[in-house]
Amino acid sequence: MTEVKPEILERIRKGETALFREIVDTYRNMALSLTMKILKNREEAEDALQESFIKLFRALVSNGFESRAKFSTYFYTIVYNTAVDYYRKYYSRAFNVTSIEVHEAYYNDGDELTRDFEPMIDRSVYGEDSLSTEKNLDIAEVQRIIRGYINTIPQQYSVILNMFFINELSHEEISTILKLPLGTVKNRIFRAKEKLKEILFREFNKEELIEYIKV
Amino acid sequence: MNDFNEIEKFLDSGIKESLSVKTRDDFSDKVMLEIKMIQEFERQDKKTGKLFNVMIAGVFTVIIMSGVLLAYLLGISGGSGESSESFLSPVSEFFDALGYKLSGIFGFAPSGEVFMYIFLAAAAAGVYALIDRLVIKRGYN
Repeated sequence: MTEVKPEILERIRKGETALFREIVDTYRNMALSLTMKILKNREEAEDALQESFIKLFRALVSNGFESRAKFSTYFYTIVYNTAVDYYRKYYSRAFNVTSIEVHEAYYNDGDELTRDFEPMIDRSVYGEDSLSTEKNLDIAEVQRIIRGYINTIPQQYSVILNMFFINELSHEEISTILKLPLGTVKNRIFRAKEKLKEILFREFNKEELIEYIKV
Repeated sequence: MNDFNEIEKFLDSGIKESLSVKTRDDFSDKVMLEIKMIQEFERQDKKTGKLFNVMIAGVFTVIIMSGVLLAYLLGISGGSGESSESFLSPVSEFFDALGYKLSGIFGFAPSGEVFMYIFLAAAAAGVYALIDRLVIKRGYN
């Protein structure tokens, strides 16, 4: 877990502005990942992130941040709220992380996770059958599938996954920042992983994949 | 480690890798530059704020001192002092004449002393407006 030492924060508060660069360097990539999940555009995501850092700096020098609070939670709350504000400004609608829109008549639980992903799979390579045991395991292809899946899941999932895996926030912290029930947070992470597992085992030989993973 | 844990670990690292992005190389420089600019603006604002306070204090001091001085001079004038009479009498006579004319129009005649106070207040407001326009507002721009 990446956490800034309290003495660094104190020194910044007392005027050692140059030390703030350490915070920027430590968090910039992890935080950009979060703003990208919300805004889906690099320019806007970097703008939102830059503003988040400025807000953080102002909060530090004006004692807005209480040292009793956990720094990363405080920072990612700023990042999330700023990105959501940008989203509202650019898309003229509120960012919805709570409910998942379902329009299909034959909707099954979890279908929304692969709604945009399934069309990406090249059936001429993989065939229509559920298991392609003939196919040799190509790890680059495995990674491509994981990446494709992650990049196409709804934001209601990707934001939570990002907070959990990249921003290293706990279920409770995510629940607090997003104002979602703890059970919903846990459930979405679980379902997203289960669906990915299902896709991989459908596309590749399970035993072969496990053998590769073990190596 | 069993298969289940191996798969979980593999998925976790795959998800992490897929979620990761990187900022542009000069991102930190940009943030630090903006912070430097913000600090510079704040320093300038503080300076202007101090100047503003000094100006306000100066203007009020001038107004109060002028009031005291005028009251003193009018007091001497009222006491038929020869020296002050020679200094204030043209002004006083002008205001008396103005008061006389106004009485013909409105039916009442404020004394020259009242006009003097009104004139003084207007002059003080004019000086303040001038300082505000030339010094204080320019300082913020």
